[in-house]
Amino acid sequence: MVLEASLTLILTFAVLLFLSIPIGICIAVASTATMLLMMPMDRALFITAQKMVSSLDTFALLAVPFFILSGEIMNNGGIATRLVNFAKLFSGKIPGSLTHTNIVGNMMFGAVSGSAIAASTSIGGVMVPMSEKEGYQRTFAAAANIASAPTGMLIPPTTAFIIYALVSGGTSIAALFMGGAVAGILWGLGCMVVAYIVAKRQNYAMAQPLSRQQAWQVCREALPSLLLIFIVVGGIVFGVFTAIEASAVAVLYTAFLSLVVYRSIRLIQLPAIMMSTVRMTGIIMFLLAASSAMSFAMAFSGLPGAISDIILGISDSQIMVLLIINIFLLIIGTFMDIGPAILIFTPILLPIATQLGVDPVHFGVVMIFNLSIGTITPPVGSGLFVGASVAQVRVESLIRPLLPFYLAIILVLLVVTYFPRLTLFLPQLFGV
Amino acid sequence: MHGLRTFLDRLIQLFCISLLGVMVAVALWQVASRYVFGSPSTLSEEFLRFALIWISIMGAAYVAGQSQHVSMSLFVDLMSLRGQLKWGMVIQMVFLLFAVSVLIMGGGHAVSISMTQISPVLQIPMGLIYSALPVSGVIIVLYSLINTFDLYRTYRVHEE
Amino acid sequence: NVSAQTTLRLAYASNSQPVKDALALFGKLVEEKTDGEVKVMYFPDSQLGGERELIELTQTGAVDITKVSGGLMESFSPVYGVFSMPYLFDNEQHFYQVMDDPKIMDGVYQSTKHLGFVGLTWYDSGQRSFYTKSKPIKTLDDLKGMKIRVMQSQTAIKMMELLGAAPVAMGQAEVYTSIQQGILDGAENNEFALTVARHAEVAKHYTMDTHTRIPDIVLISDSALAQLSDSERQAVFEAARESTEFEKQAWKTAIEQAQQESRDKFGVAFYDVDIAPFQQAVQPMYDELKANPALYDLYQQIRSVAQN
Ligand code: NA
Ligand code: NA
Repeated sequence: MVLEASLTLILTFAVLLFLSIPIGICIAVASTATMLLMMPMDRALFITAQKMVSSLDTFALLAVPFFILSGEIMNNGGIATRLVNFAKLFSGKIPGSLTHTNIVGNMMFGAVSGSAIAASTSIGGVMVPMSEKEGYQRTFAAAANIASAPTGMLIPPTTAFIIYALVSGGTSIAALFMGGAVAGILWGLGCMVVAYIVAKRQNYAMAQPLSRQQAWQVCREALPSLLLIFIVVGGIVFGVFTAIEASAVAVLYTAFLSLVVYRSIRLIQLPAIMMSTVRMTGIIMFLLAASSAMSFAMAFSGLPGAISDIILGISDSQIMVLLIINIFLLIIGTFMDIGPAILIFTPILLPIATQLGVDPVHFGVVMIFNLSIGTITPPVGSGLFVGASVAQVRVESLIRPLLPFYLAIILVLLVVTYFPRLTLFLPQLFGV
Repeated sequence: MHGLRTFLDRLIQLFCISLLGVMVAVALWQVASRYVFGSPSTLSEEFLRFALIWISIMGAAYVAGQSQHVSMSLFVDLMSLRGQLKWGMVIQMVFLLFAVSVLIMGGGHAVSISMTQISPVLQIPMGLIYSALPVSGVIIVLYSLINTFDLYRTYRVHEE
Repeated sequence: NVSAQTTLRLAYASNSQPVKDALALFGKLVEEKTDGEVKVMYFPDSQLGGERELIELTQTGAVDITKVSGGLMESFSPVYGVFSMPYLFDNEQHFYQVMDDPKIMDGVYQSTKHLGFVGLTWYDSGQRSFYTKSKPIKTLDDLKGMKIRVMQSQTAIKMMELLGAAPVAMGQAEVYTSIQQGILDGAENNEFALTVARHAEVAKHYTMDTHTRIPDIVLISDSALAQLSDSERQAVFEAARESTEFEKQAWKTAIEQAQQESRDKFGVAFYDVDIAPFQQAVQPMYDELKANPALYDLYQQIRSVAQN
């Protein structure tokens, strides 16, 4: 049953995808078709419908429409330009400075919001158009944005590690957060190295050095916008509101700046801004909703059990098993959403790994690193699709510029996998 | 047809813009009520989750109407303009089938079994939450028909 | 002598080890008692979805057996709401006595029959108490104004309000960071929240007020029961009962370990508290219960077997 189900799922999906059917429909139809192997039609349709709704029934996802909305307001209200000008003061002389700004922005923003999608829409939504204006290739800018967006799922705080801690039977969350921070920063640095090399070869314009007076002007103009970062990050760090609530506060503050302080947006423009938020939310959520039906179809066919049999059957050397688990998780990550994947595969894979002497903290970091990569790879990658629609470029056109980034990220993954000291160093130092 | 599209667009815009506004307000209220009023709002969390479901699914229907859902266009790019228009009509029919089967039939089934299930906090039937599916299903059916009609008209124009 | 084999699909969400072990034992016993005629196929760890989804899947027959929290059951059948009432049980003994009494529980288990599933048995899910970050709760006054995470249920919210706390509704996954950052002063749960969910890393005071004992409920679909012969059905019910006996013991052992670990490894302090003022504070909830005859009747039955 596992084989028939997997083949049905993959083939149906691939054919529909090739026929240019919208990706969300491809996923939903392939999942329903797979379920039809195992149950009557009305039940399969019910389950697909149920999964679509219940996958959206997650409070954390509220950050998506809210951060998109604040991003839209920032773009329209000139806040984004001011922030970017400010960032260029520091990175202006480095080749690809705008791309580095985007990557660091994703790391910081992803860290506080915990959502790769929120990061890539709000930071990328600002940076990608801006980069094109300054002569960067749009697809390259979009690729860098997509590649660095998942770092926020590793840099704390992140719910992914909290879920992992719970299902792994009580791995230290503090230790996971520290290990994740190291892995996430390495991922971001990897992307910056790629961006540096590409930008240097493409001769992407460096910012003209500004006079002291001009620099002062930029700082002064950026000050109210910079306050946004202090309010959002400070509010979270000092426990005024949660990261998700912060997204609503960001909407309030950006609206206040644009409507009242800068007067760069008129009230009458708001409906259009909100509607483009709704449109982006509809695109993203439809993909997420459809993907959850796919998780069900795979689990119902008995795939998780089969995977553990295969891994145990192949080898019992730690290096080999970790490699196989990496490959498996990369594949799983391409089809499954990160939340369900953690819930389903931690209980299966962790015992195999610990038996071979792998530390549960280290394993958690490796696992979430893997699954995060899956969100930005074809065929099913919400991060990839979202990044493409934010940048308004076609998914296919992104594959080539993404390749060097994939390479760098996989290299970092191998380093993180085979040098456990990197992840375990900080937790051991702090004794957690 | 044009009138119907405008009507549907306006209806969804009105609904989604109001809902998004209310959602932002409620989320801010959730923060404020914890500090300013000393008695945190306990209804807002569930309301926001349910509102997110509705706005996402209505948003997805709106995007379907504008044919803006993400897809890989390699295959249609190989076709002539007329071929693309023809294939566009096929895709609209796939949307229609999806809406009728998954959203209307599957979603309708979900509504029917959950009308007696009461949400823990707001105490409303869960069927009301699931009904986002059949409602968006009907909207997508209408949009698919309008889009097909429009594609066909363009196709006829290019015939001459 | 050809006989058709039946496979029952058992799905559950993420769970503690005692529950997982008990469910595994249940399947083994079913198979033994039916000479392999009935087998149980497992979908553990939220593979098929969360508990609310699993109940709906049981309703439609995609899943045959599932295990969910009694608190969630209130959404499907109001009578289960009684189990979420604070200070309902005097102690663990009283709780066991009620849950093991078919005269009380059969009616509850059958109350979802019109939805296509019934209760099969119950599992111990322990007691829930308050735990806090910086200040221990030693009296009712200490709780006043404290921001405490509350489960998504009207009963739980009401209880919190009557006790004078400020109930904050949020998902379980956000509790850890919210306590850490000070958005919450504390939360309430059983001892596994300290160890397995690691909240002991951020909250060091656990006050044993044992406000609720909400059982887990194992559900079976009507369509699954209809597939079984009389003797097979008998075997399924027996296996369920025996798995409950096992789970009670396993739970007790595991929870004692969790307490020990909280003390020794995390330095959590446990406090006993005089609950009389707490009970008094929530009395209006019991007064309100009288308005609902079905719930009040169950409540009276539960109280009638109490020792004092
Ligand atoms: Na994060
Ligand atoms: Na992927």
